Amino acid sequence: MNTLPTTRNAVLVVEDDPLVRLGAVDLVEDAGFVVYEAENAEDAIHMLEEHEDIFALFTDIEMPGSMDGLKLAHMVNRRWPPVAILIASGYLKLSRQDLPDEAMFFTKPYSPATIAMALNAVAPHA
Amino acid sequence: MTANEAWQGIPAITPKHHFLADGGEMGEEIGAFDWSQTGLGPMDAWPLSLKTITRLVLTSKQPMCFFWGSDLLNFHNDAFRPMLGKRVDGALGQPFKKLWADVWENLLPYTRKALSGEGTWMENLPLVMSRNGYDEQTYWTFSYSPLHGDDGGVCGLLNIVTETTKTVIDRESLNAANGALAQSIEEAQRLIEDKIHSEEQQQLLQRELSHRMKNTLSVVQAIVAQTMRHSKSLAHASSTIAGRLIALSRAQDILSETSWASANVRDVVNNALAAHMDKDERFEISGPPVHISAQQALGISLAIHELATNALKYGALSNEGGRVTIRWSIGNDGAFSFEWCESGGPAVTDPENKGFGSRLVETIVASYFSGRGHLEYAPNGIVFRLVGRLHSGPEGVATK
Repeated sequence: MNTLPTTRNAVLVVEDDPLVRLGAVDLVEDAGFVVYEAENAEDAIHMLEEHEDIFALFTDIEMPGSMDGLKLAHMVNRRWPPVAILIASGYLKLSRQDLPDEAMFFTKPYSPATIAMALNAVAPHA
Repeated sequence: MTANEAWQGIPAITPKHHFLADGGEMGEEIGAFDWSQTGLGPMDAWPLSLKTITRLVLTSKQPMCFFWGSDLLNFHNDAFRPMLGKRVDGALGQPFKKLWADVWENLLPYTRKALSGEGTWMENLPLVMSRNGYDEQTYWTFSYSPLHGDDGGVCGLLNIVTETTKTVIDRESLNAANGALAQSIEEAQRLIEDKIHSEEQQQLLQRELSHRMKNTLSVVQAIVAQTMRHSKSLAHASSTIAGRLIALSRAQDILSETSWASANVRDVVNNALAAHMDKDERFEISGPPVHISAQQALGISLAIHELATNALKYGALSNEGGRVTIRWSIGNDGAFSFEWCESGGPAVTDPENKGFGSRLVETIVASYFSGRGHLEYAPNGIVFRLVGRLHSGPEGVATK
């Protein structure tokens, strides 16, 4: 069977607060990308396993469940190295060493325009 | 050096050859004492051994005393005098038992040992004595040695002694001071640790507070953005945003009271309705006591705000006779159900396009309960039903 090469133009939004998640989903859509959403790390991993078109992970840090956003970011960095990582949190005291290399950090609340710009910068260009 | 060198230049016979010569004050006192009245007899008749030991003791700078004869009569040198305290006058020639009556029993074992021919050495022996007219704790490092007469039999005992009272007491007070110091240091360390701990707690609290604030601001940002997005005009957006933020703020009041742990559904409902309740009889509220999480309380508050605002404009709260029934329950399977049911209002028509309000009620609030929400535009009045769980499990909803 012949499969077309996947166009990677989707962003995975991981955020446990439904309202904040809705805002994030809207900003990603407004920036012109396909969006998948998850409310915890376990769901996020399922999404990544199923959807090969994801080029960026945009995740919160504090989430319920066994894995927080930082652990998720490290795992994604290992298992899906091409996926760009954007992390947002209300916690300011976070050192560079806590984040995977190349990961971008944004404080909450964030500006939708800043996130959109960052996504455009890491999006693969056809 | 040989032993002979020690004798160099010293005449073989000392000029002052009387055995009390160079004997100090005690030498003079012994010379003046009437020994003929004692068991020892006149001094001229003393055995050579007694004279020899007397001379040895008197010419020594080391405190010494000895006891001689059947009554164990006391002899001592100048260096020993301070140890006698107020007993110093008249101590010479006194029987041991009389002079040291207060410690006689304590010393008897050592005395008997020396008289049996065997010496003793003791370090810091404690003795309570009354040499100065009052009971006094004293310490002594001393030796008792047998003294032999001319015929080789034991005639008395020699006591070479250093009083260590001051040393021992100083050492004890030093130990006590060290102990007190160690205790103070320990206490100070504990206080410092307590302080550090409470500062850490404080910092943790500050961080948590700041984090909560940022999360709340993120929610506010989302509400503002969503409202702007779906509003027909800026004026409409402005009043809608104000209403929603007030609802959010009121919900925070309840959560502050419970330290953001959980809230009772009834409190959340009453609190959210307070702004819209013109007449109590319009509302029928019923349900068991159920505690929901902080986020769920915010969700329910926002949902009630949206439903009530809509009801005030178009629904059961917009006329005189309309009513709203609010019910919630916990099912056998642990499912949480919540229902808002309007009746008696103007006839309801399905809205042409659903705004953020209905999306908020149907999708977002339901997400807080990992469940489903449904808004029904029934002709008799709007009905909202929410079914979900109180505790979100590991498999949440994740939808595109």
